[in-house]
Amino acid sequence: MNKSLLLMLLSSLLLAGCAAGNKTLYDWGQYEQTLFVVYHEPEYKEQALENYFAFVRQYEDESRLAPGLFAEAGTFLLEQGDVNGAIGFYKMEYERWPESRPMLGILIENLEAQL
Amino acid sequence: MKPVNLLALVVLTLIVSGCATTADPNRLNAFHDAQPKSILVVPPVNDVTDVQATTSVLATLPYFLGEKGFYVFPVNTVKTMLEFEGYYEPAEVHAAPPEQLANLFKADAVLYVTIHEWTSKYMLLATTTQVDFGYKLVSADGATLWEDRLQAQYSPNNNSSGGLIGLIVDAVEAAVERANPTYIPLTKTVHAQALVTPAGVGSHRGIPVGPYHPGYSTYYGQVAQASGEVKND
Repeated sequence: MNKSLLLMLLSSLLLAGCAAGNKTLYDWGQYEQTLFVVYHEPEYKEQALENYFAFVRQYEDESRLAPGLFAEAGTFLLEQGDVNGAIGFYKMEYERWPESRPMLGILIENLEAQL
Repeated sequence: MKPVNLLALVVLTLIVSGCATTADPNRLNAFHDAQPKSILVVPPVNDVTDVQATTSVLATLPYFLGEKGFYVFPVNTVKTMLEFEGYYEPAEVHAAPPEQLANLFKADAVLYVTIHEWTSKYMLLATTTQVDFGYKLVSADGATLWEDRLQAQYSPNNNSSGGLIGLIVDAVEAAVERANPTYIPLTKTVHAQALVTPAGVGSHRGIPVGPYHPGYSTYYGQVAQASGEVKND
């Protein structure tokens, strides 16, 4: 068989594999890896968090971000002392997911009182 | 899920030995009655000393529960808030009344995971890791909705590791892979087995889908039909 044809076949197979793998309800980005780095790899933490914030911000007006991921961004910012930024992400989670409202309603209120 | 993760899952050799041999047709009755919408995942209790095992188990649960259609409370936010409330040790959290934890977050159910074993045997050519996880889902009123325990043994395929590293382009992901090549894929393989959607009432493993899953109404339609058939008998 011709080499380029084989290559084409292989790449189409790979593409098909990717399409099947992307059939998820939500986008998760590198959420799992980010938690791993935050807990265990201090030298990569800053980079991992920057990537994570950039990823999550793409979903401000989009519903495909997985549950909890806005709130996690808020907690990462809170840990860095950015209360305003944290409140912003907590409010996004609050708007998107009704189940989060009892918990985040109190949290947002308490944080706003600190400002 | 990203293609790299999928590939890693395929590359792992998995032997799962289930405890349950006969299916109890009533094992999910409490779950079906409660139909929880939101799940609070509390930090896992780890009976071994490997702290990365704890992280791996905690970090990978939201994916499976979220994709099954449940609202999953953000695990790191929950961990942080529990610490504010004075719960520093997972064992303390597991010992607290589930009603109290569920009420703190207004969650419908609480998921407790215990890592009973995580042992790696280093041999000349391959490393074998033996794991044993216990799962327990409890409703906000304290009823057990689902329980399972899975043992699994893994030997990552060394021949493929070069190819795997070649596919990882992101520095952060590469850092995780270098430091902990098996944790995340290994844990995800066990979670996938434990949290599979049951094929029918006779199925002895897995939990139902949640309200955000497109198959939710179909699933509960089948449950209602099955229970109707039982009553008619």
